Amino acid sequence: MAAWIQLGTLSLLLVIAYRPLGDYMAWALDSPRTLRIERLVYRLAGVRPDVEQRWSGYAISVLAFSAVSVVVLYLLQRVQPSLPLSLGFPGVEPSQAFNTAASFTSNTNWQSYAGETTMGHLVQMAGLAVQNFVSAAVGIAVAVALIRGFTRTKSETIGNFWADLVRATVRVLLPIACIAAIVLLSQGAVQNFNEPREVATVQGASQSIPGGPVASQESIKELGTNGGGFYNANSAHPFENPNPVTNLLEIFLLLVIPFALTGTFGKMVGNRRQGYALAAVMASLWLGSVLLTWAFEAQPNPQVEAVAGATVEGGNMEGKEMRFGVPVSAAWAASTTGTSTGAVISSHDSMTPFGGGVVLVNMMLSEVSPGGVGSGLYGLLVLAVLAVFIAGLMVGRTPEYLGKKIEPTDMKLVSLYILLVPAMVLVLTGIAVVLDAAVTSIFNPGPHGLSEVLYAFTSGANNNGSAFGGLSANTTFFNTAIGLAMLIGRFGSIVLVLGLAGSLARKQQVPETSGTFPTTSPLFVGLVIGVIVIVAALTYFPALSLGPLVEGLS
Amino acid sequence: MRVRSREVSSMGDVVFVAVTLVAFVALVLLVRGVDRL
Repeated sequence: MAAWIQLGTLSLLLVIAYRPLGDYMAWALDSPRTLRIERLVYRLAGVRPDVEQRWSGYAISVLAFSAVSVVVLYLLQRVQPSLPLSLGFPGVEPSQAFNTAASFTSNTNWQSYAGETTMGHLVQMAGLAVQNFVSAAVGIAVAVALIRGFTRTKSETIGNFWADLVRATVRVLLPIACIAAIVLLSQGAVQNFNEPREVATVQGASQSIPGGPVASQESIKELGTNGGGFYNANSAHPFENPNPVTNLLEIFLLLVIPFALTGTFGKMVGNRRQGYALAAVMASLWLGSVLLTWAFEAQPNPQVEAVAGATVEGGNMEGKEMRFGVPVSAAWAASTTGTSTGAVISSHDSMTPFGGGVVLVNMMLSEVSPGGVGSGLYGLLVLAVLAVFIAGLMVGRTPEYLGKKIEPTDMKLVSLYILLVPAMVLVLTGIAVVLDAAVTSIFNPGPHGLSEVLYAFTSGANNNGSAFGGLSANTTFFNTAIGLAMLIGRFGSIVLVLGLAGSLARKQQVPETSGTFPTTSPLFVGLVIGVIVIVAALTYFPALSLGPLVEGLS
Repeated sequence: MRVRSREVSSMGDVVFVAVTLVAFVALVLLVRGVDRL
């Protein structure tokens, strides 16, 4: 009963926030007014926010900004011992520093390190937390650029990246993250510059209690769908997530912007029902995966029962926090994998084979349930274009979406977008299971071992960042391979999305006729969900059948 | 920021900064490829 109340409260909060936040973001991201602080940033950076960019200029700005971010974050980790507040930690080893830099810049936040024993406070704050903000802002900027592709007519330009980046950071992410950090603080999340403190436990052992600016990083970690924990235990750590109230707040934060951006979309295209249709797709997939994960995790582990020789009550509790339990852990696991966050409160490696399969599939649906900040919306729009195209093929009409004719160029970009990430996931997983240097990292034999590797590359290339565990990923091979998967998965997709935005912006609006496929109807919602599930199934079924499916059935 | 030369001149640093730059140059080439579509 308590679980249903929590799930109901969460859903209610999301519904309440949907329209105000969506409308606010529509204003904030497209208003010509410039705030004083923004003017200062523009002057310091030498940016003219009113100068419009073509899609290619926009894309190269995204790439240049992100390339510089990777290099700066890399160097910060390497020179850590010379920095203040380093807590005496050595410089991060090169391949791990590359992996972490690629990870935080691409909004993935895959971590092959343990925060409290690797990163000093300055690198956490000036390196990782900064990327938590700006990588999320890049996602929002690209989503807004794609919306402009739909709203503009015969336009060569899709906005200004630098202005979108600054607005998303200053007007959306910073204010909400500040308020959320204060709420987390009030509930007991820590916020200090303390060094680890050695204390004697009741049993006489010695324990190290780490400090750090945690609350401020925790709020943007969830809000920006980043997921990189200050501590290795991530959101299961009581300093990051002290009680049920903070748990509800954190799960709300990681879902709120991806859902509300569909409202922003509806507002900007001048038809709210277009936004509601996309929100319905996201909500159906999200709720479905929450309930499925819950159902699978509510089953006891048959192997534990066999060893214990008795029935086990309370479902599969291995790897779960006692204070959260099965339903809340399942809701979190489904939400964190559906939003490309990757923060965890339970061990996904310890889930039942089918429960773990659901969270894996969640990422394979190309992160649209509801997806990352910005990336969820643009990913879903790409799939909506595909759905409209398929509907057009069925009735033999030129497909159109929001008054834009979908033509061969657009479909080539959509196809490349859909192929890019799976190609990387499957090829790299294939390489990893035959290469000696990689195979030695896999702790579990058989199908579970394959699931672990498949999960790692799926998580990296889809920019999720959660880990299945059971894989020693801090090796030169995995650091480099997953690092490249994250960069290409994120920025390759962004280039294709911006190309689509440019192509759409150049087109004329065609008036709606009786033959136009209505994209606000339940039929459209069902069609998009069908397309998403079928594309993922066709792409990944062979790999899934060798991993979680065979494990669950044996 | 005081940077000790030993820490930023190791071979690993050169390799991984180069990997980063190659990845991004490949992506810039993708921009040009998409423009031709």
